[in-house]
Amino acid sequence: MANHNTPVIQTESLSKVYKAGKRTIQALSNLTLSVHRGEIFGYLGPNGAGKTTTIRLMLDLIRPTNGSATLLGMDAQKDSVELHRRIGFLPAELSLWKNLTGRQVIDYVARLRGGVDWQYVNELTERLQFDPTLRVRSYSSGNRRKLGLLLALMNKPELLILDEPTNGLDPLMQQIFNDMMREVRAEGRTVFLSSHILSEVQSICDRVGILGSGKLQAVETVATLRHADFRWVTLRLHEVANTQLLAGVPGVADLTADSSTLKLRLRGDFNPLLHALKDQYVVDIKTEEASLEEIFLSYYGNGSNANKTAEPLKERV
Amino acid sequence: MQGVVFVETLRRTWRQTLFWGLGLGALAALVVLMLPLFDAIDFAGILESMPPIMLQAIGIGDDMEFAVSPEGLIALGFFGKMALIFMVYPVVMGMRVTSNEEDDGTLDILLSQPIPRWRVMLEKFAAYLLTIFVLSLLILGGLWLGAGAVNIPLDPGRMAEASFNLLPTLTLVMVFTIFLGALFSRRQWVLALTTIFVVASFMLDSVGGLAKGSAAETLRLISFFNYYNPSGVMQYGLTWGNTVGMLAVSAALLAAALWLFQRRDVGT
Repeated sequence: MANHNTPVIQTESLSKVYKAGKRTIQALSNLTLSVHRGEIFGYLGPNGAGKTTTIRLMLDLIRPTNGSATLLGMDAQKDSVELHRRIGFLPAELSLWKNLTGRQVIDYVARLRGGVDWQYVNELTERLQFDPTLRVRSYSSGNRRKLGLLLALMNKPELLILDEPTNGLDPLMQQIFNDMMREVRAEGRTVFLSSHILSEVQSICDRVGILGSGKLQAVETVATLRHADFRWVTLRLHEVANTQLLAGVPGVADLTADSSTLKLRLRGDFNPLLHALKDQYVVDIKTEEASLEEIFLSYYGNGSNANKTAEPLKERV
Repeated sequence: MQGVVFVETLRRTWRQTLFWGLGLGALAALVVLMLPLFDAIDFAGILESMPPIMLQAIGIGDDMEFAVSPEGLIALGFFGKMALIFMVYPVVMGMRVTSNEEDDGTLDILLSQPIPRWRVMLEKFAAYLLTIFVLSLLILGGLWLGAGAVNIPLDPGRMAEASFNLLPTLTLVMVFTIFLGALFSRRQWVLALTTIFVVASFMLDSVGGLAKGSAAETLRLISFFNYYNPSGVMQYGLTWGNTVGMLAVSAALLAAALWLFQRRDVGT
């Protein structure tokens, strides 16, 4: 049994190499990471970065080439059965038995876990607005995701490992999911969730680990990352645009003008920008969220220009 | 939890087992119902006019008297000629133990529950083994019903032995499929190699039976069909050496499958 100060997740030089014929693929390289009790930890990275490999190693679905993972004070490989009793898991690509109804799937997993509080299951079902009477084959991807979340949550596990949990969920359901995760944290339980969308992680996570090409690039608090966050803004004016209009406006960078259109990178609030435009007739404003890669380049590359080639990212684990 | 996978596997399989069993049982009954026709067409006379090599080719040995008896016709026409059809069932069920679930991705959910991998495999195997036993019972039922309908006196003990002679053979094929499923994560590989194993064994046994005294006859020894031998069972009863041998090989393959599956990556 882990004491209160033991990290809920502790990996030491965890590595995984896949062999495909004569080729070897380093899917994960020397991952050393700690996740603490009662936190929501976001595991961020683009597709193919090694997020799912890490999660599969933690769940003992695959075996490490090197290193080790300890969850809840137990070895992920040797104590996998006992660990699975205390972990709730949602895979990124959730496949369930298509001929069973949602209720039958829940019942099967509940029996495998030695029983479940059906009143709590019903509460979750209601909250997720999920109809368990239909067959899995007839569920939309969003409804399958809800069923997966239900399976992960229904035993009130000490640790939730969720791989891209909000894939396929509509914005309303994403909000409900965020609320549920905050409740899990409030109960002192721990959430490890992977995502490739920064804004999703920002809204609920306490800390974020950033993975790229199988290597952990950094672990930061969300507050720190928020300082690095920016968005791309396109303004269409009635008159011909001039970059001088916005020169010196706080948070504005990478300003370009083309005819009546201004493009810029904005960090922080909109208000200074709008204030600077108070004498202009603004026809249209479009905003585009910066990609994860752009934010990290901006953050770690001391980036005044997010598009420039960044130096290798500094490891801050 | 103990037995959950076993019960769930049976719950999901009983319908298919019943359909398979009823189908094969009906086929068995049909063969028995057709037995009077063989007398009507003077089947014995037809066989006597055939050259020995042709008789060997259709699976009739030197004992012509047995070949034209009801038991002989059932052994040859049903248990012998339909052998490849019987083998489909254990391959389908063997694939369901891990291969299909791994390919579909449902194994991830199953193995992330508090149940060891070996137990998942063993409980599923036990459930499908039980369905093979039920299949044999339904085949025996078909033979008994057919015999009753045309009033042919068949030795019930021998019919039971011939039906249960299927058990070690079907178990071996199922376990071989499970073993390949533990070895490879791709369903296509498992299906292709199992098919090659079954068809090649059948060919080796058939050709080996024809070419007496040749290398093919020696090679026949590595075919599991050689130890299935429905005619021998119908004439002299179960050969315990063959039965125990096939079950021992099955047990060894199952142990190897459990060992391999416990150690390898899943879903890669």
